[in-house]
Amino acid sequence: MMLVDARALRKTYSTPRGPIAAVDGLDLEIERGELVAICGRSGSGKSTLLAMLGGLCRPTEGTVSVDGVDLGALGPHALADLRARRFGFVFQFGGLLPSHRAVDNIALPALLGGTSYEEAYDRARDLLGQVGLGARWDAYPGELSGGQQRRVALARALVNRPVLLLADEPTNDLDEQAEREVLALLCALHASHSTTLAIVTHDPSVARLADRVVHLSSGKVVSAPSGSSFAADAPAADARARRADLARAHEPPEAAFEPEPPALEPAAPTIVGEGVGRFLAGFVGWALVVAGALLAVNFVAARFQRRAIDENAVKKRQAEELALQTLRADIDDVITEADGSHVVRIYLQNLSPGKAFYVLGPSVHCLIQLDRAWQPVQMLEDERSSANGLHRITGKEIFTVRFRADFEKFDELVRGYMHIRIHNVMVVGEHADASGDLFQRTDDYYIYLRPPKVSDDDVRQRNGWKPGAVVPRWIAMPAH
Amino acid sequence: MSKLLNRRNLLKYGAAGVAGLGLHRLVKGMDAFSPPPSNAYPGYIKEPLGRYIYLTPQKLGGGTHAVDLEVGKTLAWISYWNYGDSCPISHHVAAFPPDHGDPYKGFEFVNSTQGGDNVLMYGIPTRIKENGLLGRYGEGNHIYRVGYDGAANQMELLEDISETTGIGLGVHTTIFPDGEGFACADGQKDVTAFFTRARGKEKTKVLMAFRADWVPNSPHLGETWTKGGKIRLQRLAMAKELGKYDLEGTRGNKLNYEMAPMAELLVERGQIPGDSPQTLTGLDFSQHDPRGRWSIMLLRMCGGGIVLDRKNWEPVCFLYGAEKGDHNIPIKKISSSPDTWEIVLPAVFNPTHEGGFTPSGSHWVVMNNLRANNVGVFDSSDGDPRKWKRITHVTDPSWVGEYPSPFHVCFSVDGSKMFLSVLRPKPAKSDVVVVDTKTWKIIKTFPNVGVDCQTMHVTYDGKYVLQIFSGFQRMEAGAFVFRQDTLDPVGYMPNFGGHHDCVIVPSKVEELKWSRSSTV
Repeated sequence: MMLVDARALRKTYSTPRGPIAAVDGLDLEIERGELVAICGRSGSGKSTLLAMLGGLCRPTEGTVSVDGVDLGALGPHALADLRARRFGFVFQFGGLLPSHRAVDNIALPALLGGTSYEEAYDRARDLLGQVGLGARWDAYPGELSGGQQRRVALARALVNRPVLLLADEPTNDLDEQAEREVLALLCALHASHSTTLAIVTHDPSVARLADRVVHLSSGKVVSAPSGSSFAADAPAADARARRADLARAHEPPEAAFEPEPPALEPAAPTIVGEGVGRFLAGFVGWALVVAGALLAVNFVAARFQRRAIDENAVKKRQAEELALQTLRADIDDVITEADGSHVVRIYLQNLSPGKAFYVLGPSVHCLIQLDRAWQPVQMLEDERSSANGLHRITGKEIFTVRFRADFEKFDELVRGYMHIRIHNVMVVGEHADASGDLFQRTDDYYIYLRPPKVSDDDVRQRNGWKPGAVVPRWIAMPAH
Repeated sequence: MSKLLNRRNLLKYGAAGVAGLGLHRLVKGMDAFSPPPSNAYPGYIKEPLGRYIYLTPQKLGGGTHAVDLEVGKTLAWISYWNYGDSCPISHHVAAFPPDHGDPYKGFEFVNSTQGGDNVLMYGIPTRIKENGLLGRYGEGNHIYRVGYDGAANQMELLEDISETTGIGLGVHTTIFPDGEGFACADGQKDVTAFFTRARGKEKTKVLMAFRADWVPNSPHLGETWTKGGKIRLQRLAMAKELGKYDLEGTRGNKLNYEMAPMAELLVERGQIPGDSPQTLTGLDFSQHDPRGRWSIMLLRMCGGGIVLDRKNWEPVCFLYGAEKGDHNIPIKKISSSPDTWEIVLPAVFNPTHEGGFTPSGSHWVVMNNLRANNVGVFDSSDGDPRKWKRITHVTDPSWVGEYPSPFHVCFSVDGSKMFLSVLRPKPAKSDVVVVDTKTWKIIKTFPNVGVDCQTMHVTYDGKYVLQIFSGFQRMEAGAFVFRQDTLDPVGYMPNFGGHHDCVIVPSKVEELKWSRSSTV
């Protein structure tokens, strides 16, 4: 029963020197279960023919049918699907994925073909056993010898249970022992799986194992050249016998290799994609570690800064409390001198006498209200002015300043009185050397002050106060 | 090592690092939205304070406004300028519980106003005097009765009680515990009067009025109170020719300016002008024992208060707040035409200012100021005020000299705590302290609350205390709120205008014991 039917195949490649026909008008039929060797010298078109038979490349002319399916009629997806499900390929080199273990390499085509994970890995484990590498299921390709790699590749080619196995120089560059092992394996698998096998080879010993040998020369089928070592027309029965001998000579194949472990199950194979989760977990874990470390650093730095800010704020608050709550300052008295000047007695009182503090000042300026605006008055600097300096305050201290306010007209909110504002600036600190936090306190004391030339009676009369009413020299106002 | 340092791990660690940095930036970004830490009190209050109406006079603003504490809006306000008062200083308020029980539907309150030269105390460059606006209508000392109509959302002036009765007083107003009358006083005149409660268009009547005068032992102003003397209390009568009392406006003023808080010593120093400062007693308020019968007329200059029996309008005794003084001093009637009583004080050790009864009436407290700095606590549980005795003094190590000094007082609804404002003159901010009424010890201080903290009020549900501040006119003003139970600060709410007082309108008579009735 025919499996492969290739008609008038032709494949040309464009080159700078014009088109070259790798395969030129070739007809080929392969029966189901047949082992066909395709022989020829290098460049004779063997590999191109194999590629066209396997649907890896499309012929320039002609048709290829496999199991009644015309490959030329299939689109790329359908062709790829067919390749994955029905064909097996073994190439000159193993072509294994280096980052995947042996079992993964074998299972991968089955997974791509839609087989379940369990089934794919069951098949892969089974095939690994068949190729004598059951114990090396978790080896990466780099950890396997060339022959072992080729055996894994063979197992991979068979994992989808192909109807057609296409092998392109499968024993190329193997040593003799390995070559025989691989060939024996091929023969054994061919026999056990009833797989139709097309082998491209230039090795006569391989060709002798085939049911039939197709010789190619310049892309055409030719008769075996005279003197050739290829057994061109060797009976198929002989070939089958040779294959059986070879298979027996190397059976069981794993005897030459590592023994299969008693049970593969305990070491469950890693499922493709499983690593993504591990990677993500690792990624997130490290991200958290890094973020945690950064946050910890940030937290410590923030705590440090916060403490510094808090300490600073506390110091400022203490300085403010010292200046505003421990220091009491107000007008003690205002005395009008014989020369018409006014002496303002300002007291500074320490409300916590056990703890002295320092005041730079009081720096005092007086203002008078004229036409509803504040105008400075003349401050007198002499020995009777004791303010303005650095003072240690332990109890109640009196400081004096003097000013003159000889104005003919002024605002009289209370008739006969000047409206005076005494502006006092003090810098308060705990230490004499101004170390630590300082606080500048600004006070304004407002008083009504009677000019020396205005008598009590004038005031009473102008304000309508009764005779004998108290007429203060100055009137204190609430702080405002 | 090589297992760790391979391309795959380097990629992983690098990606993890980038992700970590991203996460870090995200967290830092979130930090930027978190509120900055603060070592001050919470800012604006963030919770409704209950279904209450908060009444606050604006002092120099010339009116009073009512704030809905549930939603934070002003329900209504009144300004006395609009009624022809050319210099109203809206000073103190007290509200009557409405008969229908719902202040939101309407209520009435009495509002004392100062006037006259008091407007000159704060250095405002006003020309009010030269423009003659301190004449009859600017003399002030009106007692306004105002109605809030919840249906119209409006306040309306119902009565100028000073015009009706002839008694013009400008300081504390206090409702009787039964809600059927009120008292008002004025330390510039040394007069206190007790009035009926009028409703709607009714007119207020005077139940009784007294004047207190000081007769000093020393002729020198500086020794007028320290060297002792006599308090003379006289029952006042109507002027027959007027058909009412003759105490409107500035009539009867002994001082031209009120004694601002802690200004008592300015009087003896001759720094407050006036016709007869040497006779001053500083009768600034009458307040009422919540049990109903007794009132205390407080005399700031004399360091204590006279207990009055409102059943027969006879004075009973004098309670001396000073640590050095006797607890209870007898009163002697010296004349019946008019009724005059005399109290002999060998010395006045310190002025007193505000005071108040606990909600049960078991204790009465009074602030000893300036020459002393503490709170005198009397056991007033006995039915006979002559047996009331000072049992202790609340003080604090920081209360040294004249300032800081305890000022206004109120009590928690459960009576377990006494709240005091503690005055510090500008530029310092005043404090609030909390006192345990079992031990009479300070259990908490809120320092630096606001400038010139004045009266306080509690919400009747026992949750909040409102401390109003800004006696210094034209400057910082507000109300500081804290919890009665946990004593946690809640925050600040605005107060519009300067002020001297605040009242949460009671909905029933029983609530008066926490209102402007028993405490000032």
